[in-house]
Amino acid sequence: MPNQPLLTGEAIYRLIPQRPPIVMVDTFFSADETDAETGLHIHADNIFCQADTLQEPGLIEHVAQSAAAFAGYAPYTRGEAPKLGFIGEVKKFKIVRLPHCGEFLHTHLHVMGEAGGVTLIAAEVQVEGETLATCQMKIFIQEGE
Amino acid sequence: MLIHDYYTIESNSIEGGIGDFCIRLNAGCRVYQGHFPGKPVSPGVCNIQMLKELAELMAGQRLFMNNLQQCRLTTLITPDEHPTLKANLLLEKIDGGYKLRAALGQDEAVFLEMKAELTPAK
Repeated sequence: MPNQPLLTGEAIYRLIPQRPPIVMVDTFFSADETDAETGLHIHADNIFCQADTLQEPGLIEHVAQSAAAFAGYAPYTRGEAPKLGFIGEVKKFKIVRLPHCGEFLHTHLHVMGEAGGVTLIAAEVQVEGETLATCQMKIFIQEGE
Repeated sequence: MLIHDYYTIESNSIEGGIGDFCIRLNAGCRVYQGHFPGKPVSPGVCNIQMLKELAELMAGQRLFMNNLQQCRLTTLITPDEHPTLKANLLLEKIDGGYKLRAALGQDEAVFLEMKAELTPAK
């Protein structure tokens, strides 16, 4: 696990266009050309929590916003605003178990390919080294207005 | 319901494993405060959750989506442009749970389609 996150809390707003109550990334550990690591503390007031558990859409949105943050990181380093990113396709989203409130999601993203504004990523979500979910996702980044 | 005021069911017909629903999205739902500020777009995951909840209605029990095999989101859905939607579900019983195929759209147009495997929630 990287020692010091690059961005945490509201500083993540520089990378993603989502705002409360639907911000599903609160830690941005690292990013290079092909990989990134993100995180999320699960609080009971998360809109996707029910019965002390983060439900399936919360887990999927966490991965989608992690990918959006990854896509937003390069523009951020150039001093540009984040662009709107949309999920185009979710594939093979396999969930071993849903995380509980109080747990911390640590997510690894890997870019499998990129073409024409579409990025294909593979993601693995862990809690303390235990894999909770894996998936592939196509993210569209909206250029300009 | 997970986000209790995200949508309402205006009508439904459930026969065997086939469910057809008319849905109304609520533009006042607070999720739009953040998705996105001043530019409401229905979060894809909320629509996936809605389809899962409709499948639960058909199954008569709470379900856990252990495998979202594929979900294509081909058209951005907004509560202003698309206040009403139709959802067509095919829920098939398989060993240990259900197989779901679902489409969300308007008239003949499909905005979102998904295939998933679900098991009874513990």
